[in-house]
Amino acid sequence: MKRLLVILLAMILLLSTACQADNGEATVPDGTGQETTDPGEIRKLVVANWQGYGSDAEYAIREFEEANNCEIVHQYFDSEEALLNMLRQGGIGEIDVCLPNMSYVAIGKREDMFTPLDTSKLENYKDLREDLCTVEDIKDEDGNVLGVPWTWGTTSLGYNPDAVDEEIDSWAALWDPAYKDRIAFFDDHTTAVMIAALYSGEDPENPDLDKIKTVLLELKENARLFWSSYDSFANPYTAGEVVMGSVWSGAATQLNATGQKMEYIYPKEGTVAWVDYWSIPRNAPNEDLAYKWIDWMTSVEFQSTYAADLEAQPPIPTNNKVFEVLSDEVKEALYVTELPEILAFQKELSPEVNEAWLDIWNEVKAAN
Amino acid sequence: MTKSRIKTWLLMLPGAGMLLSLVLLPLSLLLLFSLITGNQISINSDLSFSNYINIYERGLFGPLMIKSLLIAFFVTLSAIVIAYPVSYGIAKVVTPRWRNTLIILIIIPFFTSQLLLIYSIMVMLQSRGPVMSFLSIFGADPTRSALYSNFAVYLILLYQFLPYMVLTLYSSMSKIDDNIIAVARSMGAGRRRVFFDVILPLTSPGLLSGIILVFIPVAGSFVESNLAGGTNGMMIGSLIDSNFSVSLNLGRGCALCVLFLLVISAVTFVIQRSIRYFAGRRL
Amino acid sequence: MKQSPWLRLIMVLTYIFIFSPIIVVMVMSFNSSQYGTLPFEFSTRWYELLFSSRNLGRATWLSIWFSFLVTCTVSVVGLLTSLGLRRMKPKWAQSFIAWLNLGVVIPWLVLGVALLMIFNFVGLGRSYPGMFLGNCICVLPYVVLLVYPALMALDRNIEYAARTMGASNGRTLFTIVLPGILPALLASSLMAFMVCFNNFVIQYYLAPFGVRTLPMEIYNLVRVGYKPDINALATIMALLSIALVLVVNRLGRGKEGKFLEEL
Repeated sequence: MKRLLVILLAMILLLSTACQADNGEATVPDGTGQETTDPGEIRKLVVANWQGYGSDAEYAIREFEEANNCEIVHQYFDSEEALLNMLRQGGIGEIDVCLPNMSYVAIGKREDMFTPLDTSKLENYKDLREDLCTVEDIKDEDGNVLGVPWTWGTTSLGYNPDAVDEEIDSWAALWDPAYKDRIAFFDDHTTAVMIAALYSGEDPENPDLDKIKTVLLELKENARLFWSSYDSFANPYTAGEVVMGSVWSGAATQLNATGQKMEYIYPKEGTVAWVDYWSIPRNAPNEDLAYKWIDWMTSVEFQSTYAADLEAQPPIPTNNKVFEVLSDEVKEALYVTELPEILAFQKELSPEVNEAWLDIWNEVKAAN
Repeated sequence: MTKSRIKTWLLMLPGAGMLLSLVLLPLSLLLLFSLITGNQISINSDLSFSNYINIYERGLFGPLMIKSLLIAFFVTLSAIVIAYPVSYGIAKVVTPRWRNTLIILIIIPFFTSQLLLIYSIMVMLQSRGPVMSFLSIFGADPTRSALYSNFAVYLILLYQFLPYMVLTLYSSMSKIDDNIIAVARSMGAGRRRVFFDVILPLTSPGLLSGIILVFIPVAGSFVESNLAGGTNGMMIGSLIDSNFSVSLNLGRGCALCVLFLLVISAVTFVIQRSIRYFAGRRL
Repeated sequence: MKQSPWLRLIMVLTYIFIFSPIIVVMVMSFNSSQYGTLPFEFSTRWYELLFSSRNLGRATWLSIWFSFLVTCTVSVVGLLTSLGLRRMKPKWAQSFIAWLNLGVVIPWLVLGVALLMIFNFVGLGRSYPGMFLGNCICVLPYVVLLVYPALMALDRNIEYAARTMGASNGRTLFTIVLPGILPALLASSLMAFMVCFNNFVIQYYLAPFGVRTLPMEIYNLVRVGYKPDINALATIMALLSIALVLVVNRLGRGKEGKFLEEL
């Protein structure tokens, strides 16, 4: 028994020293979960974002921390709903700034979770894409803006040019029996319904759900797997299990940048697009810092660095001035040189519609 | 007498306290919320069974639950079949010096990360990976793979839960007096008899614990089927998860959960009773 | 009992099955490809990446000492509870255990959400104590499920004999009871540690803002696709553990065998 305790204790000590080697300060728990800081010295800015989505890049954090004498703490979420739940359950009052999708800014608006923004405090606001700044979904009743557009991208069709002989130009390829069992489809109910709508000629914002369900069931027959994160697409793609699928623009950029070929096209029926906004939740402890952060994130300096870092899966920046700075190579890699005519943006869905779409998708997935 | 009672209560206090506040209370909340319709929980919400009716109408719960139970059944059975010889070997056959080592060795992979191991298994099984390349020698097509199928899910779940079965069986197995087995053999019992009439009944506590710790979590799992199950891989856990994490329908998610709990408790109860019966007959 | 060759085979195959993914992880940690594809190119860049980032190390350290704390607490509580259960009528004890098992039956996703709501209501919110309690209740059934049957299987006459000879309760506990249930205690503590260390779901819901345990860190990283330096971390941890176990095993060659035989 003693020998056993020795084994376990030694294991733990050794492992811990290995971890401490690259770890400056250990987080000391004091029951409240707050790191004790000297008051008045270093403030903490709590940023809620996806992991690896630009805001936690080394250069981003370092520059801001130095310029403002503060510390950035990231709180990650892995789905939009997770962000909302985080805000609902204790996040208000803790989180300074967060990144909801356009449709979720609208939900946050309904639940009064975001502070109306004073855009005069933001230097770079005037340089951002006009249409994304003025869209109705992100404004409250008084016309105040609740979010600042940061990046956007598309979820479109990507395929392996080495494995696919013909040139693809339509969503119909996903339903083509020639590629049976070689298709990967994004596991998200909104995207699924919208793509099915585009394919079958329905209105992506208000489609006939019965028709959509039939179409999606056919797709499921043809598909090999549903992916929900970059890795669960990239792995089968690089191994040759799938040759085609619905992917994010950033995923295509990263795959090409890391040596895996992918042809990313905008089908003639149109493509799904999404926009991410920075918002400040109510009762943010460091509102002034949050404004500075948003300004930094939308600056030409940051956005051009991020966009040029092709291996980091960059989305499309919203600051128009950035495009003057980027090289043509990068612009091609980001697929912004020829944008499609029909861009179906993922917009706000009422709870009933959201649930109806989710139910359809679940039924499709569960069917045998 | 009273002193003894107090002592019992004192011993039970921490455990019972935790049970009450951390299990029973959430469970009551669960039941309560399952009766609330809609996405917002507020004090004035009406209580009704509409969530349950909705679930029945949708018709998804039944087939998914059955599929999950089947997968759980096969995984548990395979785990039992493998874990018995292994735990017997560790407890009875291996030299004492190696016993603890082997036990700790079996869980060392899990000192890293389960998610990582799932990915590794997928890497092993994927097309043009080690397994398929090996099988291509026998004529299999290396560009296909066993992934994205129910079999892959089964394999991954078996991998994750086998150690639990080994550990629980080991803890029962080690208590069996060697003499009993020796006596049985000396009285002419063959290996089969020894197993079914001696070992099985005596290890039934460990077996029952193992079943609880394997069958139930497997039935409720969803991460593995999401990753490796392909398009037909959805299990009941995914449905529950999507109601909590994707749609904001807390009420329906809770109702699904309550149904799941009822079914799984009933099934587990039946399994336990049967095992106790068979074990009891022979003890 | 004579060692059957079949038994050997099954055991070897099982251990190969258990260890092959971790071997793959180790091999891949030296492969320069980001996606785990062959051809194999030797490279140590993932190890360099691992040591240059702060987050993985911090998360690992947190997970280790946190799981250790939970395991110790739950082992003690589980032991006390089992001792108490032993003093009760078996029927009552069984029903208590059945309720306790709900900690395993309720999908942890649901338990996490419910606990967070309760903690928010109580004012605790997302915090270390909250996460601690959440993990404890998930893991407590594992201990009780193993320790209670082991306790019941003990021959109480030995305890009574010790008491008659003047040993106090405490002494009896440490010299008679504990050694008797040692395998169960060990097995359940190991399972408890394993479960808590890997318990992504509960920690995801209950961890304080900005704090990430290892499973959370890995989950997030994997979703974005930065797997390979996790391979490096896993390799280091696995190798260290294996080495330790083998070393201590060698050291205890004579002594340990004798000690266990006396049990």
